[in-house]
Amino acid sequence: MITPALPMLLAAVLAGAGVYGVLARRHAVLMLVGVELILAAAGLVLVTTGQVTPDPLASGAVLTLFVITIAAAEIVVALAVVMALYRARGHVDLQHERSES
Amino acid sequence: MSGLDLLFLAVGLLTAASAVLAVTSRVVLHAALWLVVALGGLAGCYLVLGAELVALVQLLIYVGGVVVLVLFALMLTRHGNAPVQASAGHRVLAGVVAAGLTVLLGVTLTAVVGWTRVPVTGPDSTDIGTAIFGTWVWPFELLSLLLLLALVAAVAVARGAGSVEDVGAATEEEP
Amino acid sequence: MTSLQWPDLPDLPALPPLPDFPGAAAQYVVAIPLLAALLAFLLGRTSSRTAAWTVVTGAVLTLGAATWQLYTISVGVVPRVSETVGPLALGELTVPLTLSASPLTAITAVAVALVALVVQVYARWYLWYDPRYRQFAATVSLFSGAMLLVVLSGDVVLTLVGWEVMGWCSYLLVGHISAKASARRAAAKALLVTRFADLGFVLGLVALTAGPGSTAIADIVDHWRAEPGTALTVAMLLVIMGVAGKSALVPFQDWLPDAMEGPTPASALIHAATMVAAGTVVLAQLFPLLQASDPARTTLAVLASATTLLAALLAFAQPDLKRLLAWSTVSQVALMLAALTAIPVGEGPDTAVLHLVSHALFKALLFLALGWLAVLAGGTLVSYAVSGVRRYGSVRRPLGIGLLALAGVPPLVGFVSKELILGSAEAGVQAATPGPALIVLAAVGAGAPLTAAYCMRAWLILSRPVLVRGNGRTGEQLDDFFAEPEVMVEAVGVEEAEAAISSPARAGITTLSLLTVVGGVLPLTPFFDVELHLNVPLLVASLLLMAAAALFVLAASRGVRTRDAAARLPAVLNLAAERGLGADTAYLTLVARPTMALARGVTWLDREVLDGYVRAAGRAARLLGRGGERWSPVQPAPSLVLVLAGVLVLAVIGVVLR
Repeated sequence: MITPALPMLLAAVLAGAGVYGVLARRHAVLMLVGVELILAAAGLVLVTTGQVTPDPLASGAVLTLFVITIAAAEIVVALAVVMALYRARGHVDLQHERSES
Repeated sequence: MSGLDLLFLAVGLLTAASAVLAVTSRVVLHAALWLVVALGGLAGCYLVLGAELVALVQLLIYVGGVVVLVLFALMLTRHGNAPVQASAGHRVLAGVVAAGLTVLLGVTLTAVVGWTRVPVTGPDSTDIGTAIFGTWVWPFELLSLLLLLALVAAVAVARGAGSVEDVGAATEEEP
Repeated sequence: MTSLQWPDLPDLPALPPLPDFPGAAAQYVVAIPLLAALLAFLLGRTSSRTAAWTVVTGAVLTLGAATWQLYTISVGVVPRVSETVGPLALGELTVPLTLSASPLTAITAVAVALVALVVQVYARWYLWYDPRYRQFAATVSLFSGAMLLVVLSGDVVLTLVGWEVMGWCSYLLVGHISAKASARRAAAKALLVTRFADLGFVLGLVALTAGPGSTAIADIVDHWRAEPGTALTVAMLLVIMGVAGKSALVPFQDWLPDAMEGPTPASALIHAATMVAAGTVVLAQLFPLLQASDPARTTLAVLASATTLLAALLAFAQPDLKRLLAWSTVSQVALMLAALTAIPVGEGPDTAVLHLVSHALFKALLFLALGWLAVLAGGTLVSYAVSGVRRYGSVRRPLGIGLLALAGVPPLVGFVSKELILGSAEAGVQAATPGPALIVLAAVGAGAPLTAAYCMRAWLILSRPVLVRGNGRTGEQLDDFFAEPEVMVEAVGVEEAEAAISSPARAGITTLSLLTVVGGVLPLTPFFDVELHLNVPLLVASLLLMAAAALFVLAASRGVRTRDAAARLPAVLNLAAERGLGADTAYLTLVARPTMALARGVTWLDREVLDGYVRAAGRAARLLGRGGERWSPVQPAPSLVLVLAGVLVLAVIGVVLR
């Protein structure tokens, strides 16, 4: 027996933290950390729903697995982009002032 | 409060705290390490919720793979003592938005599931396996394609094609 | 018509039982040469001698196994069906992958193994100084193994495997002298032409397999015999297309003479017992189906008959004796296939297989002896080979026996097999559907004198008396560029040159000669179940025609310096014959050029049209990016805050209003 509200609250906190990370960080990789937290929150909501409601297709767990996989693919590409960015500019500061244009 | 609730409360608090630390820590490396704790704690939450398979996959892929990648990326892109946080005003604004989101989500989600205690009746690993290779087999195959695409794309992007030189040429005009 | 009956022969005395080996003979027959090829390739990397020992030992063992198999079959030992690698699990399709041996396939296997052995022994001598002898030996071993697989196959998948391996090995063997552009071209041509025809073969086999849902030949035959129809006809026509490619029937005939670019042992192997005969073997295995489908039978009869006549005519006018033999192979193989179509319904393919065996013997003999002569005389062009057997007495007997057998002179093996074909064709004319048999009878009747004619021509050239230098030319003489290379004083040199052949190679040639002479008793053995249709007037008529043709050639050769009767033909004809009537050009114009044009078209389509879309997509994305770069705010983070705040407000409104 468990209170499903607790995991949901945790998911809300995680999502909030993630959004804060995305918004407040200037370092591109740390911004990605925020994105990961948001995805984790989504996974938690899915798993909780799957565990406390009848789920004949096991969709809660399966979709979470899918989300994890997609997140892995996403982070790989995102980090590749960050690396390319770093090589091109020498920094990964998202609020770096551009002199022209 | 049942035993499961207590357990979840403990693990969840740990997770929440480390998540907050991961997005607020001023030291880049610490942030990444707090992320490890947060994701590991989340795996613990999954365990408490009775989803062992998801918990294991979470540990394996996130803590084992993604975080290592993030750490590598951090090391490779270290750049003096550049600021990692936005300006104070910006941070406050971001905090407000984040807090608003937390409240909104928390209220909505708890309102949906309610505060009554329910039994944990999740599918076991066998059911999940059957479901993946039965109902979900096409999305599953598509995912493998997606991973392949991500792999190729990552190599192509990180190796630096012509477009990167373009960016570099554009930014060389900086003083 | 008067039909003779052979007296029943007394049964042979019972032979002692052989010791029991594990496994069936067929497995050994197929496995040994493949293993020998592998070993020769692995061990023979550094030493030609090791390679030679490996492949010759392998060939001897193969011959032993084949003979053992023939023996076990003659005493009726079962099982005749043996496993290979076990059945494949392919869902609804049964793929047993079995070998099966019948008396006919067993004796064919013996012939193949024998020719392979002689060729291996001979090649060791012939390619003594060739640095790539090892690869050659391994390829020959692989090639003979593939042929034996086709011969003993009880499953069309195995047949296909052997068939393909032979195709690729023939490419390697024909192109062995790879420094020579013409050899490379000939190899590529052989491969392309036969592979093109193999399209039909594969499709045909697939169609045959689809009916019974099994790839076992026995199942296929049982199934289709029960329900002949259009499907069977189409499948058999496709199979015949493949057979026509491998056996060099019209319109695929032109690759075989070009394959003469390979070393002589390779030619002997390809032409005598293996590749070109594979079509006959496969059709003999599928024989009831061929008989069940009249359109297929008629098509094959027309193709084979046309080929046998055309090739015999072309053979007559060849300026190179090796090419003459090549065209004679085309003619003789077509004759086997023609025999298959002419046999009356209900009888077995024995006469055709008999001709296959007899052709294997005498054609291998002819090629090897001619290769020997080429080494002695410096080439096989008429101007080199002229009076060859006078100058080098040891090749006289093998070449003579071979040519006599090729011409079909009694009592040699060629005579027996050809007369049996003639007889069965004559019997086929009396049957219910005389169409194919009638065509074949006409072709065989016309082909016999033609064969005799070109054999006579070859013999006349080879046995011309050596010209003695005229008295008036003893002094200073002009170096006549066009003069034939006359060897003046050669008493000592000839002895040495003839002794240069290795004694095993010589023994092999002698064995083939002996078998060619006494092979005429083959149809009396219990392995052949020949329905004897002996028609004495027909036989006498054909012999008379042959004699007349020979005499005519003899008359025509008078007065020509090289005693070459073909020199009487107009030069235009000779040239055309040498070029195979321009079949090469026809292949280029009709097949190669359109194919290349199509390929270029497809490339253009791919590069200019399909890739165009892709490139356009890339360009569009880049343009879009540039536009976005120009219009977007410079710093992403603050704007993100605003966006998310907006989203949050919208969400709150949504939740509250709900």
